[in-house]
Amino acid sequence: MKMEIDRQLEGFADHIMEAAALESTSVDFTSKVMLQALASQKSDVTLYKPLISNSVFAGVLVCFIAAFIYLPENTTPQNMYWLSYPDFSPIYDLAASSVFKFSEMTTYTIVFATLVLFVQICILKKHFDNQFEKCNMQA
Amino acid sequence: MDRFSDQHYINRVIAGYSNEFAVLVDRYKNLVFTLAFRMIKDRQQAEEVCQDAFVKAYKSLYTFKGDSKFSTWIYKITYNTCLDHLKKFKKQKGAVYLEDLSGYELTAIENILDDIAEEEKNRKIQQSLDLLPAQDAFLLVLYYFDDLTIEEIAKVIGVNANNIKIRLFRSRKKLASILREQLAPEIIAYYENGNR
Repeated sequence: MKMEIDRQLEGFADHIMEAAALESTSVDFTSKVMLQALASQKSDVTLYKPLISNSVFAGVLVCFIAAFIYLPENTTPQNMYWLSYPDFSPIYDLAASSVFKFSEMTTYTIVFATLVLFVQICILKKHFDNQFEKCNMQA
Repeated sequence: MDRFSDQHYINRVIAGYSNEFAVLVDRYKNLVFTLAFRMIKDRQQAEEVCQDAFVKAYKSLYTFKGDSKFSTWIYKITYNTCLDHLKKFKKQKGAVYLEDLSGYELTAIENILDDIAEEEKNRKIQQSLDLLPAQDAFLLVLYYFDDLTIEEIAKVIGVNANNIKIRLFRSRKKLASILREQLAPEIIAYYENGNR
């Protein structure tokens, strides 16, 4: 009996769904899809690639740390004679006799401002990268 | 009239002929839109979701391995995109209770629908489909409008084939329950006229 009703239900649904129509999209649907799809393609020309890759940075850091550890222990004034070339003493003398003399406070301020500028550059770069990503996702 | 298979156009698009994706869009847009519309119940939003589904398909076309039909793949993307949309907008329809209908009631409903004007009949059916919960409507449209097997439908929805059979049965029952409510005055009149 239950199977009979199940069969009737299936037949009923078949009959009803025959009358249900397939919906149609708007006339310009395909062109809208293609516009979005093609806009999402990223051009290789505009693709951002860093000048120095992460692996190169890592290599430079390792060399720097190795030098920092190795050099103080394994160098003597005799085998570091090449550091005296080129001779910068004329420049130092010129700087010492310069008309411009800065106070300690000014020097510290200039150094601090430069450091803060570098920090700001990093923050701004991150901010604009995020904006660029958001624009690309919206497109 | 294009006569090449879906895989032909997929290969062309991957090879760089991006505009040929429009052929695939034209082939499946109406059914994909119908599926989205039946789930989302709003034409404009359904069209946006449908566009999103096709754009997602375009972006990940290179991942399509060809082990299933392109239609199955695009329907799956549509299904998941619709679910995301419904979650985002927290659209919940009222629950439809499963009622046991007798064979007489089913016959009565069918006879009533056959007697009323074509336009009114289509309106009642569209209204009933509109009242059907999203996933039930999606399943019925997928089953009746495309020649997919139960196994293919199971892949689209992400459940096993037995689960699909059970869901299909419940969806049909819910549709019948909704139609019975929609046609309640006509059913009463039908019985009053001595039709048993």
